[in-house]
Amino acid sequence: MLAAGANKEIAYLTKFGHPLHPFHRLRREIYDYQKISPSEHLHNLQIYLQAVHHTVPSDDGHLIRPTLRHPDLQPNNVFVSENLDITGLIDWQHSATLPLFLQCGIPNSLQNYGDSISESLTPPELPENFDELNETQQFEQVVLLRRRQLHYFYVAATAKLNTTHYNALTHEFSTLRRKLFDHASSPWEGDNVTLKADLIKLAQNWSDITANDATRPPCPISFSEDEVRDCLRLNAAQVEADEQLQACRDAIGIGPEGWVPVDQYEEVRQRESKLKADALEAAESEEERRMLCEHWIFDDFDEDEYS
Amino acid sequence: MLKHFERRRLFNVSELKHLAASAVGRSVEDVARFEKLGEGGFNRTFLVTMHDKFQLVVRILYPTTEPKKLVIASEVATMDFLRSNGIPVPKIYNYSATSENPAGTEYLIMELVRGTNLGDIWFDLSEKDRITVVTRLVELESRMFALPFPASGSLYYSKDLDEATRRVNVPTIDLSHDSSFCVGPDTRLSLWYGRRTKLGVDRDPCK
Repeated sequence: MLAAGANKEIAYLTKFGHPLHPFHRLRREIYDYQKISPSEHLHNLQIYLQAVHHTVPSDDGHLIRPTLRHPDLQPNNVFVSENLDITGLIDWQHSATLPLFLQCGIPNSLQNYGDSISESLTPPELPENFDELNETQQFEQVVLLRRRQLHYFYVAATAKLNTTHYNALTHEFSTLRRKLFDHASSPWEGDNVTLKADLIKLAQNWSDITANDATRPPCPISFSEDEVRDCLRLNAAQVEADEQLQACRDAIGIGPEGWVPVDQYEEVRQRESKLKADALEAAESEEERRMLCEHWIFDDFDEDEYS
Repeated sequence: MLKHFERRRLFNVSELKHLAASAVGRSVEDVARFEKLGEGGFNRTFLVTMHDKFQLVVRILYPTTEPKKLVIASEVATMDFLRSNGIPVPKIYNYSATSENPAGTEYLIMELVRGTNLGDIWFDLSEKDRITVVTRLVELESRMFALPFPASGSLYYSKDLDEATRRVNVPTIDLSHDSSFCVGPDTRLSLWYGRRTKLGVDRDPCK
C-alpha cells in the first residue's frame, strides 16, 4: 500500500518519462526556464521504497486502520438547507479507504498551510492597522483572514468532535509521513526537489521515527552535504514561488485550483490583466518579458504533456 | 478550468431519457425537460424534469476519465454504503458501469439533492455561518471516520467486479456475515492519470 503509488510512478517514468517544465509556472525561473529530467526523481523513488516501510506508526493499530472520507471536500460538493444543515455531499469519484495516518489532513479548500499563524493555530484576526490600509490591501487582508479562519475553525471543530482524526493529525511526524506518501505517489510534474526534501527530513529524524522498531533498521538515505544544501535551497525557492502565486491569486480573487465565483469572473479577469501588465512593465529585459508571456501563470496549460 | 473538455463524447440523449424515466418507474412521455446542469465545455450532468415537476439527475463520465468501469462502479458503491450509514448522499436510482446499453455511455441516475449549493453562497456567508457549516461538515466526517473497513482500496458491490479481480469482503456492522460490498482496486486519480492507465501495476486492495 505504501509502495503502490511509488511503484506506479517508477513504471510510468521508465516507460513514458520525458523532461518537463515545472508544472507550477512561477517555479520555472528558478531553473532558468529549462526543462527538468525525471531521472533524479526515479532515483529518489527507489530510495523512498527502501525507507518507507520503516516509517509506519505503531500505536495498537489505530493509525493504520483503513478509513474513508470525501476525496475533495469543498463548497461546490456540498448542499445545505436554509438552516445550513448539510443536505447532501456529492461527487465521490476516485474515493478510496486509506490507513488513517495517511488519510488524515485538512481538506484542501479549508487548509492554509505555509502560514505561520495557521500552522501555530493562533486565533486569526484582522491586523490592528486595518482601517488605515488602502482598499486593495484591505481586500487582501480580508481574503487572508477568511483562509486562516477556515483552517482554524476546521482544526478546532475536529479537536472537539472528531478526536480520532485530531489525534492522527497531531501525531508525531504525521505531516512528514503524509508528505512522503503524497509526493512519492503523485504524478511527476517536473519537480525533483520536493520528495527529496522530504527524504532529507526523514533521514534527519530517522532514529525518532523508527524508535519503536525493535530491529533498529539503519537509515537507507544518504545524501552528501552539498546535495542536501542544494536541495533545501531549491525547495525554499520553490516554496517562495508558490507563496507568490498564492499572493497573486489572493490579489486577483482566484480560489484553489483556479476557482472563481461566476458573478465575479469579469472582475477577476480584469485584475488578472492588470497584474500581467504590471509584471511586464516591471520586467527588466525583452527576454524576461518573453518568458513572462510564454509561461504566464494563469494561462491554460497543455495537459497532454503532463499526462 | 478547461481541462477534460477536449474530446466530445457521443451518446444517445433520447435513450438516456428513457433510462432516466424508467429508473424512477415512469415512461419517457412523463419527461418534460432534459437539460444541462452547470457550466463548462463538456457537460456531464443533466437535470431531468417530469411533467409533475419531479426532478432527478443523470451523470455521465468525462471522456478522459479512466478506468471507466471501476470509477462508476466504485462511486455508486461508495455512495450507497455511506447512505446506508446515515451520511447525506444522493440516492442512486440506477447506473451502468459500461457503455453497453442503449444510451452508449456509462451513467449514474440519481436523486436531485435538495438545498443550495454551498459554492453559490460561500463567499457571502458571515463568520458565524462559516463556523456552523465547518462544524457540521466535521460532524459528518466524524461519523465517516468511525466506519470500519477491512482493507485499503475503493469500495464496490461485489457483483460489479470481474471474478478474477482481487477484493476483500466488507462484513456487515454486526460482523455476522458479508455485506454486498467489498474493497477492490484503488481508483484514486494519481494511480490512473493520463498514460498511467496503460500500466499493469498493482492497485489491488491492501490489508
